[in-house]
Amino acid sequence: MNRAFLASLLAGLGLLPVQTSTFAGLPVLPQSTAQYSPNRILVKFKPGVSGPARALVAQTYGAQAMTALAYQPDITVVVLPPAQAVAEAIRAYSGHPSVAYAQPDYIYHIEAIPNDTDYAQQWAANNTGQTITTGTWTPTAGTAGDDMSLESAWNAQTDCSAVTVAVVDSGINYNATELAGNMWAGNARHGQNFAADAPTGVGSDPMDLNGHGTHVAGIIGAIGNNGAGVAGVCWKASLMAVRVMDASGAGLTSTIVSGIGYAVANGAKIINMSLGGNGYDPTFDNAISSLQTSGVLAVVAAGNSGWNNDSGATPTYPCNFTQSNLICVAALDQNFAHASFSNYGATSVDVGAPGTNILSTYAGAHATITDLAPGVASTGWTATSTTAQTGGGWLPGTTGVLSDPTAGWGTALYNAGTDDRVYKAFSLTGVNAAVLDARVMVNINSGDYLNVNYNSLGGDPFASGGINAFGATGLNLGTTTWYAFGGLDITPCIGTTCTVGFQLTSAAASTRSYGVQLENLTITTLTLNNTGFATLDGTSMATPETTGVAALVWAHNPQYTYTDVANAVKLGGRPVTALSGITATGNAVNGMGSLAYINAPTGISVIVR
Amino acid sequence: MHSLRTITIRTTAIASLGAAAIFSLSLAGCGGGSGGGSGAAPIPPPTSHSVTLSWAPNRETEVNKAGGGYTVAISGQPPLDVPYVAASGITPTTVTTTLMSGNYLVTVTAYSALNAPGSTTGSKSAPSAAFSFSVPY
Repeated sequence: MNRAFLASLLAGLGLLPVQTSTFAGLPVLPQSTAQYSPNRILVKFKPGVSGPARALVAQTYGAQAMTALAYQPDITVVVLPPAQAVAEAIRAYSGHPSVAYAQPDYIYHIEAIPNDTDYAQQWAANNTGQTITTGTWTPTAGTAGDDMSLESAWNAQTDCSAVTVAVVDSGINYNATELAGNMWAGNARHGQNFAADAPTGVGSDPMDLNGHGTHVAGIIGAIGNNGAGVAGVCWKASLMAVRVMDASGAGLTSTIVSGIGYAVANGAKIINMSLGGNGYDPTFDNAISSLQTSGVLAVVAAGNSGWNNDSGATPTYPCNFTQSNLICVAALDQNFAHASFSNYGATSVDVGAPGTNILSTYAGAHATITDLAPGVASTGWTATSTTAQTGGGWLPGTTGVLSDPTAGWGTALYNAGTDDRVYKAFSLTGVNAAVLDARVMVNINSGDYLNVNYNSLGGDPFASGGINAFGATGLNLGTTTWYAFGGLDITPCIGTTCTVGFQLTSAAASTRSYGVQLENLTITTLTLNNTGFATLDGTSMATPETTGVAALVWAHNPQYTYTDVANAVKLGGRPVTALSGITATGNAVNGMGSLAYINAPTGISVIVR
Repeated sequence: MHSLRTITIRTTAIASLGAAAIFSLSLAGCGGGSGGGSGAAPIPPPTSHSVTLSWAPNRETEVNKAGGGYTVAISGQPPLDVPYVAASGITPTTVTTTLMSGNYLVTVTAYSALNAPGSTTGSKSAPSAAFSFSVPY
């Protein structure tokens, strides 16, 4: 087989090495960018050169050993002495009259494609233009090649377990089969809970009762190439569960900064925060700054409001914090277009990453109980009032909408000096979390209140033992437009007789107003299981895609600082038109690009003699 | 034993000359020399000198393994390749060459065998900030 044909054949098979050498001339010196064995070369002897003669040649150049290939006997593997470089050896052997040519023993790689059963649905890793069958964000099929080049990156690095990643979120279902083997092993529960509720009755348990944190964790580090489920950006990982958000997905500054502190104290190198709020928070800001002392990188979400974070009216934190150890991520769709829900900002947002139709692990299965559907009579509500019900007070069961005053909401007024209650029992059994939501219009006077209470023991939740979901002062939105609670964590109400109630109280001297209307009440439950998956959209998903790449980079370059990692993630990305001008770099995160990124050398000095 | 004298070296960024730093360098005596005298001094003949360039090691793993290394570009000279050395297991961060008297700019670029997306020839860094130096007569 002639050399040109061999090269052509190898290329056709997709088996060309990282850097091919030329067959056209002698010697076949290694090119500076090729990967090859550093301590052996291949020598092809001319026809008729005997075994002893070959051995003599090898001995001449100090070879430690030589072996003819079993099925290519003209080719001999020569093991070099320790001090002999490959290039030097090739020059030496090539100059010997018995040698036809000598060449490096190049290193080839398999293309790293994981065998996870749902891998073909992970367009962020390898976008073939496939349709994401569980996707709900249009488009559900995109452009081949618009991905993070993870298959190439996985040739170089799949194991991030040396870099602990803290998922500061709603917790992680650390028992999920796709995650259990990749959880941080610092304690038995793989992290810590800082949210107010106790998921399993154990206050420190970071079990995920929302699902969001488990989805985020799977994007970063679902076990890869295990023949099941999905592959994380990191096939092997060390995922620390830091639970700062409750079952409804809400968290507080106090819980978040506590979680950050815990993560750093326990060795996390990267903190993923797929969360955001809109008020400047100096405590949170300082917590990010303090990470620098420990060399920790934070990767955060741009937000899902579709607005410009750089506008003074609509910042999103922590994205808008300005520390050098913070990367803020926008979301791209399957065509690498800016996902319309994603916030952006030429100053505040650094990069974009896949954030639509992202398949990942989930904490369990949701179910929804619905009530108060508009126009549909609802039953089972119990109403009480301390004042006469003529026009005022709750009067359930006649329509789907609960209102007080029942008669003519928006025209009639509720009673003064009243305590109007309405409640209903729901059976919440066999579930691990419950979140109450409803649409409301609340238009009540100062000094009058709407309260939402629940009681796991049943009965009037405003009587002794009830829990106020809004806090002591209740809610007064002062609005006549529909408003969603946004989710109230009622997990402590789980049981066979969970009563949920609403109460309107008014002062004796109240001048009264239109009152309260309620509709579309839902109780969304979560039942944990260890084999759940979900397809979600959001900058919450784009963020862990980026975190995973950062972990790959750091694991591959253990000498890196957080600045090096941030440079590689941001500057090793792929320029994308849709991100130009609306992010600081204009780049989409790219695993291979970040791994291949090299910082410019520094510190040149000269000595002249 | 060489006598020592001092020359001045400036670092400049090619694109931005606003923040030039000045360093003093102890210089071992070189071959050749210039004559003294009054009036316009004659331009001495150029002489060759051994020049050792050093830089901080890159932290990338791929630069510091087989297929990695640095390329040193000195103005008017062929580039110098400083590859990883298998025998020592390190990628050197110094190189010594011989230069004639004159002024030079040098940049260092790091490279690795890891292909950036779309590349089949590995990857390389941006050049370092240019460093200017003089080789005396």
